[in-house]
Amino acid sequence: MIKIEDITGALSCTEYNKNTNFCTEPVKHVAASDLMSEVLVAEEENLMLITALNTEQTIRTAHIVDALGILLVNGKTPQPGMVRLAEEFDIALISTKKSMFESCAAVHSMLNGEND
Amino acid sequence: MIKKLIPVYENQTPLVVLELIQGHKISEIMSRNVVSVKPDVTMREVKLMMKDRGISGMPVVRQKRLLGIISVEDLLNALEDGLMDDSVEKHMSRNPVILEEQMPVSFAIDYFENYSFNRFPVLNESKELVGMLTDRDIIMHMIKVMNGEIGRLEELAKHGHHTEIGNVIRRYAVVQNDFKNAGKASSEIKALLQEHDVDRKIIRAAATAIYELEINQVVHSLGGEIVCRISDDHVEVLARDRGPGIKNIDLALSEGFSTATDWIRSMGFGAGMGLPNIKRVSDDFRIKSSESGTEIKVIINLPEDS
Ligand SMILES: Nc1ncnc2c1ncn2[C@@H]1O[C@H](COP(=O)(O)OP(=O)(O)O)[C@@H](O)[C@H]1O
Ligand SMILES: [Mg+2]
Repeated sequence: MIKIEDITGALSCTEYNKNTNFCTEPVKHVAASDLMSEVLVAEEENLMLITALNTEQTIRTAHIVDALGILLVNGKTPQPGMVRLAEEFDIALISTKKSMFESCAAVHSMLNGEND
Repeated sequence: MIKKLIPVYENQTPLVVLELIQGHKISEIMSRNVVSVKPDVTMREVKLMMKDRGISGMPVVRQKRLLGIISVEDLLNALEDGLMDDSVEKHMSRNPVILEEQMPVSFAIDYFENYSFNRFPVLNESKELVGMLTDRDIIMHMIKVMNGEIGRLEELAKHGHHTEIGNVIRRYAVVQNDFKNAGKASSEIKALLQEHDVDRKIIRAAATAIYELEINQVVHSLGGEIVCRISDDHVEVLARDRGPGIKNIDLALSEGFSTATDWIRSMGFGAGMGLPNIKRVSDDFRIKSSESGTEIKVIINLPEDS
């Protein structure tokens, strides 16, 4: 079971918000996009969002799909208001210096590794 | 922040108030039966006209073209100098500050704040004089809209706080390009449905539809409103905006079609999946659109035991 906590470790992330389930709830699916309507296509539960979009709309989108957390890539730091909203909606918010491609590959192999 | 006479700020003012002043055009509130004078009329005649009608300024017009404004002050000066038989043209102020009929009311408020004039001529796109706007027109407009708004709030308050779903109505004003507030309707309705233990999937559907509707109004329209009605067995969302409308609805509904600019894409929108998402999550979807606006009505059913 991969938790946001594990991803934070594996990708050397900065933590901006730890949600209540940070260390307990498993990530089972990932939606990766910089366009929010593409994220809203996802119908799975236990989602994590990987994106380079660092606006409040990222948090709002994650909230709609009940995502556990958001991984910001390319070293993006949250824009003002983002952390407060992440706290309000209890969504994990972490950021890595790695690119979208590297991050997706790493998380993908973590999730796949556990299915083997 | 600069201290303004009229305390209206983008980020602090309640949405209804912003909607009041940004969501209405000057053409909706100006007076259209304008009393104007021709340039060759004498100052004496103008004095009589103003006195009869109790007004303090008049536009000077030749064939719908605005040449200037003649005010009480100009009259007093002419009187003092004994020039009352002169033509208006000689005494009017030229190049008056004008408003355009398509501007939002907020522009007019700024003008009244920045200039000491009591009235502004309003021109249409062909630069013809089509109306006059006074501060009184603005006040009357505000009172009218406020009446409606407060009536609505009173109606809501009468029904008290709801412990049961059943006729909850929420209305949200959506302002063009206001990315800051986009998504608030969706979050609020989501919270409401959560309080009533509605099934997670259905909440997700409703939140998705409302969010995409909000974003589309922010991104593609001149502004509008979202009205959500929650009854015992369904959520109805009505999104109405003030234009410019969707040219080809079938095309707009197809996955991936978007007219969004690069700038909008950099804000995270313009995947061309909004309308398809709304359609997918809703049980009923109706859309009509013309140049004066787009109206989308969506229903999401609430199963009995949710
Ligand atoms: N309220 C609206 N007013 C005008 N045009 C709209 C509106 N909503 C949608 N559209 C048009 O329909 C297209 C598709 O909308 P949508 O599927 O939400 O994709 P996107 O918003 O990502 O462009 C938009 O690009 C726009 O041209
Ligand atoms: Mg859209």
